[in-house]
Amino acid sequence: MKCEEVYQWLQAYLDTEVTAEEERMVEKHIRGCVHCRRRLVELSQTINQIQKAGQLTPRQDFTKRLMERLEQEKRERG
Amino acid sequence: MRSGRRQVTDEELVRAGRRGETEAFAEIVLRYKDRIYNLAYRMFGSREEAEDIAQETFLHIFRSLESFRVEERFSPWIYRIATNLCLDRLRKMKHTVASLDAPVGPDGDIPQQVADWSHAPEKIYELSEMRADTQEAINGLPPKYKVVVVLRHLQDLSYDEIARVLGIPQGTVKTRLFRAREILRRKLGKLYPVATGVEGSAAR
Repeated sequence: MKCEEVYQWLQAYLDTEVTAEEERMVEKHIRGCVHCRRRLVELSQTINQIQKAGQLTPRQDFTKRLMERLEQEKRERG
Repeated sequence: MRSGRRQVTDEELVRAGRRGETEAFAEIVLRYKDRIYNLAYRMFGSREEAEDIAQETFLHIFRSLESFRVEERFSPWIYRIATNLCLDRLRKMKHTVASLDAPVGPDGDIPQQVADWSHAPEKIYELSEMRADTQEAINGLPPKYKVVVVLRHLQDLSYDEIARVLGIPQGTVKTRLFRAREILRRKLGKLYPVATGVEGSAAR
């Protein structure tokens, strides 16, 4: 199996969106291929980095402002 | 709104919201505001835009409670509304800054969206350097790639869920996600090379 063909499975493998059979295929290939092993490490690092981007929270008065706008709309609609 | 035994489902809240129960709608807002805010934040890299899009999303939801199909699940619906609002706005922004959108990167395949940054320069200081670089790299992705990365990695949706939110085939989701991550890998890999003997150094 060629590296280019493996690549998309490698990506899906990281998302745990592969079948058991595809998983075995990927694992078999990366055991014997330094190039793909490195790609896998780099990709998983990239994914970790994206996921570490962190969660933010909206302003404290978010809900209050929204509910006020809704009340206003309701009144306008009558 | 919380019963002792089980949590009221989103869909039940929508039905109550339709009957005019304001508290039910407030509970929906409480459940989703952080998710929608973060989704928008990652799409724009700006708190101001994120607040605005999140407010617009809930207003839209409120106005269209009647058209929500009861047999449908609520979360793909709200994500669809929020992503559409983000993509529409990004399209509009692109028109206004077209001349500044010169592609960058070693392969010229990383479009730069200057407008995203000019709106909120303060955020650079809010985040650690690595987080800021990551956000910048995400910002630089074309919107259709960016949205799949955000839904997959910052909202934790599966391929199937992303396909339903965006109304595109799963195969397209995969293609865009893989391509997007490849761009990010190349960009971030240069700034933060993996420890296991990868040549090159952090060029910044």
